[in-house]
Amino acid sequence: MLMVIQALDLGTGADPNSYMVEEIWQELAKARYLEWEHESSQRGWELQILKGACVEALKEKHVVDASMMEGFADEAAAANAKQFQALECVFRKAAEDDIPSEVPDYLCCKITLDIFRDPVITPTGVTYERAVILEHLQKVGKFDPITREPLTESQLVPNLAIKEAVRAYLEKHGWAYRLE
Amino acid sequence: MAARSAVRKQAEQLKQDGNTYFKKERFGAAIDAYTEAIALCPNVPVYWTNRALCHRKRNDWTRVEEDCRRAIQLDHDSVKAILGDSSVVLWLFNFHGDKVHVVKGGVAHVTAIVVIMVVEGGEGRDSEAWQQGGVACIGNHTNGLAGNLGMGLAREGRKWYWAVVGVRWSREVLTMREEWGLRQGSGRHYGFQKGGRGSNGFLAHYMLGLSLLQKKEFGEGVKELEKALDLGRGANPNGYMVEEIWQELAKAKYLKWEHESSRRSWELRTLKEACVEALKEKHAFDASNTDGFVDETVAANGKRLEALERVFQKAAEDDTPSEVPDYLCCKITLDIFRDPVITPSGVTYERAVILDHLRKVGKFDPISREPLDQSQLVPNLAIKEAVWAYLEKHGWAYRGRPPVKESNFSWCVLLQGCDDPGGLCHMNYLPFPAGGFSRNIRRFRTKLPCHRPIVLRIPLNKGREGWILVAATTNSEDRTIVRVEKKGKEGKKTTLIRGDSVTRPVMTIVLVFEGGPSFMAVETSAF
Repeated sequence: MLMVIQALDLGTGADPNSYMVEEIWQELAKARYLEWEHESSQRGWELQILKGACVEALKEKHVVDASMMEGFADEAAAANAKQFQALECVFRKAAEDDIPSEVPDYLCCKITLDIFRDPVITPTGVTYERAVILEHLQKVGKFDPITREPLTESQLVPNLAIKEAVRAYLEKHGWAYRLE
Repeated sequence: MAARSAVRKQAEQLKQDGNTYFKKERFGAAIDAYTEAIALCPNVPVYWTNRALCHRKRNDWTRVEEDCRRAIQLDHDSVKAILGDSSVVLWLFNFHGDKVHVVKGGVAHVTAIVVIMVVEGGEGRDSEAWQQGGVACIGNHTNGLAGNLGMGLAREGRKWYWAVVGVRWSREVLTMREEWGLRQGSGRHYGFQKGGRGSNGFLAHYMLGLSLLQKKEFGEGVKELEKALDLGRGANPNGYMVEEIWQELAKAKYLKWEHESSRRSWELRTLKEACVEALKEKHAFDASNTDGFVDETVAANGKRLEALERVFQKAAEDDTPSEVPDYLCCKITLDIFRDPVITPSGVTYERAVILDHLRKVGKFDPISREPLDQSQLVPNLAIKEAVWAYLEKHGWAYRGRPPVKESNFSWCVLLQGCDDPGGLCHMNYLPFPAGGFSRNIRRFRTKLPCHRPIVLRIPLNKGREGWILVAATTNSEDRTIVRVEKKGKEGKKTTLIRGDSVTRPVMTIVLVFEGGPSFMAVETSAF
């Protein structure tokens, strides 16, 4: 994968619009996604086993406790049910990062609604995917798609902070590498 | 008619009396004066608000709450309620003379903050006036999604204007008037009045919020403070109160989080203990029943308990204070962003900080060193939203956001006394070293073409301790460091040694060199 990343860097330098870069990107994303899938299923499986052991242990404990207490059976049952629910929540939370959900809005391009790859910001403060806004400027007109203010290519500034945010997000949530 | 205006005049006089007493800190007398005014004209919100201010000074929070609620009620009553939740009104206005008439209304559903006045073309002085208002409003509010609603919808000739108005805090109700009197030169709120009339409408919400917090009603208190902040910002973004409200809001959000998270932590802890106990019991039970496989199960059980520990840690992750990610923090103050702006080099800073830098140090980007002017700063709306989302999830990050005041952070590294005709040496920062940018370490590297003393002012944020490690290296043998001095505020010089600790907000280091050009590396760490 390291070679793919290098190829991508070289490619981007040459010509950001080239189709080869797109291909390399696809390969990279696919590779990262597979890597995540493998690791996360491993994690998921381990969590399942652990949860099963806990549930079983708790059940046995409840039985033991119940036999030692006379009366209060209903209350105990309610409390036990709550405990299982809470345990369910805990395990769900622990697995949260691995569960595909929606990528936050601020990490996605307003036009394509896909996660950013190379975000650029316009003078009005809105951030777009570079390739998309360039295409817009070329084909549709020299204005900002959302605010409609005049816009030229030279005014686009790379939004480094968001780029970093995207990187951090993908590291944590590998499922987001999957392309539509 | 005459009688009414006489009564009103009297009430106003009483209000003035009350204001005078208030300034003299005679709060009892002020309260009496306002009470009389209220008796004469009970429907004037400002009398109630002023009285609430007095009650606050006396820490009479119950009365503060009462009076504030009344003031807010009176404000709301005076305008017409239009819509319900999460919706935004679109109005098409026809600008005619100096009155604006509502022509068409519609509803769009949005999920985000919108207070924007988007204006379209027009001729002559009137369009300028509208444009002034439009730009000002856009500048006030935060969410870029607002733009989605604007211009794409209305381009029906140049005499027509779009206005899209919504108020973030007021998810319940948006209020607007149907006919707006346009006042020339009033700038910001051209013709629009939000709930909370006049520039002091936010005070009532602010004090109401504080009184609710006193009662430990964090959820409601936070809501009121947010309203106050929005209104206060709308009226006057640089007003004296806005900063105070922000501070209180951050504090309130932190308290709210603390309250909720301690409950969550307690619940997690008890659950974990129950699981651990259950597993241990089961293990003991199993061990006593299996012959010969004891070793395996001991090891396995140990691992299982470890794994369980990790699971509970992960479940409590959001509530566990840690480090705010780098990309959400200003590169200069290292604090989480409040109002991030991005420069043409792509770096994002806290607005107040970079403005201060431009004023005090020079018109260049601190990190990339490219020329930079105030007008080139662009609000980084995406990061702003990212910060908001992060704070929602990690309430602990509300703590320790020190006020952004000039004396607290003045960033400057000045080189003086050089032969450089501009009077300044050129410094090349290395902001993002290959190994990753450690949050606490800033490295400066400078090429010094001169041999006169270099003065480095390395400020630390107020209230923080920091240590300064000064390591100077040279690349030529004939350049040696004679001494490194630390100059205190009184001008006293002490020699700095490696690892010295400093607690002053600003420290001056004097590095005296002899000889030819050299490289100097200075590492500072502030925590």
